[in-house]
Amino acid sequence: MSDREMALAIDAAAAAVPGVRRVYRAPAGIGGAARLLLQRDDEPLSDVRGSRATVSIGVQADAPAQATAAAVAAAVQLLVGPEVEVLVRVGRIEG
Amino acid sequence: MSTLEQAPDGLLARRAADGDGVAFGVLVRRHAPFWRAFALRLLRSGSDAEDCVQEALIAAWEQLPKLQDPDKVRGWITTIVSRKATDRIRSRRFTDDIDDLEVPARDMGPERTAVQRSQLDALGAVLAALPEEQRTIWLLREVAGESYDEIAEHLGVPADTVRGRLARARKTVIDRMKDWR
Amino acid sequence: MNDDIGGSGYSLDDLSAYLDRGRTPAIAAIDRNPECQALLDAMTRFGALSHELVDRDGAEQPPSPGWLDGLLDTVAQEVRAGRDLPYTEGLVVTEGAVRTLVREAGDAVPGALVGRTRIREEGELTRIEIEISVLGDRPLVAVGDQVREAVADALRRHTPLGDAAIDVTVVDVHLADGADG
Repeated sequence: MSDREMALAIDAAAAAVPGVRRVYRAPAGIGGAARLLLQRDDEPLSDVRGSRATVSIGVQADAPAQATAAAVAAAVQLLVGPEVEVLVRVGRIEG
Repeated sequence: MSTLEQAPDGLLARRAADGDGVAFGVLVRRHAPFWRAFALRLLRSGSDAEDCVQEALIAAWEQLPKLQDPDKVRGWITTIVSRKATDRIRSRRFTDDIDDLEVPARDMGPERTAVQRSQLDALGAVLAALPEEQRTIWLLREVAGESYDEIAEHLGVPADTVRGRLARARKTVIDRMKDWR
Repeated sequence: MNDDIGGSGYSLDDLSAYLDRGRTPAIAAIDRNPECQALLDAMTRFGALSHELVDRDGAEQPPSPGWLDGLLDTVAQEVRAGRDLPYTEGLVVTEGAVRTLVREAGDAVPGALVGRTRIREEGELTRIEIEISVLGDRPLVAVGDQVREAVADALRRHTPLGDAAIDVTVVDVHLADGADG
């Protein structure tokens, strides 16, 4: 499976986790001044390169954000396998 | 919870700079009729005016975090509208003749007296008949409150030229509005 | 234009520039000359009327209500994220998400409207600085305390900043009918 296909699969898996409102496109890895964008084309939102997968999400406020993010991390880790480093970024918490 | 609709410009601008899109929307809708009317007087085309204001608002959103005095956001965005409008004017083919661009339509509304309405209408017609650069300079000075240097920068001409053309515009306006003096 | 206005020794160009300099430093020959004063008054008046003209255009020919919807949707979709703040290994929350949370928690307190929010690292300690505006008839300190409590609650629930110091400053008082806007 290519990185792009994996990223699309991650988008779907993340979106399916209860409490996730939407998935954003954002830079990979820990960063600063990131700008999160919604999808504007068919390209995947999550970022997968070899040994790291990054997914950025907006969560609903009815569950604590960290727990939701952790659930997403677990779901994504299942997809990518134990060798890949997973980063989940909460970009938005909807009241 | 107080609603944003009643919040002053400065508070809305601070929230928008922090990323609050809803606050930005309230601020923008509050002043958009003015900005669009201003762009319309400058560009004399409704669709150009709307495009111009939209471009200005996108730029404003991007640059809001850098605005030093959020209380002055309305004037700041007016300046961005000026810049986008004059960019557009500069890229148009310049003609000396009266263009066949639309002149803003005139509604008859009840709030002002007939005399006041006529005076504004007369002024509107005088401005519409000015040569484009004089009208532009007039509007940037009198409606947007810009300095000679700011106007000069928008138009790509020396400040001295701005001074001279503004004086000429004032002479014309005073002459043609003499019935109203 | 070299016309001498009313024998003052100054031309219309001079008067125009004098007006835009704010009539300082004062020039007695102009200030004492009735014809000069009449022209300066006319320039000022037609300038102010131009602003009124654009205001009128904006009020009487408002654009269609939905014309900015597309733009505001686009703006709302872009999130100002800022720095990543770590929960734990592999899980982070953005500064932007925290600011939105703070804003919503503060807004939910009756009588409060959140303005600017800042997150600062001071060594080991994180400090949240919040500016609020309070509805005129509410007790300022009590509202400020309620905001602090609501924000602390939200931070503990959703972010790694549960132990942050929270500063709430009332920077403004607003009235329900927007009269001070």
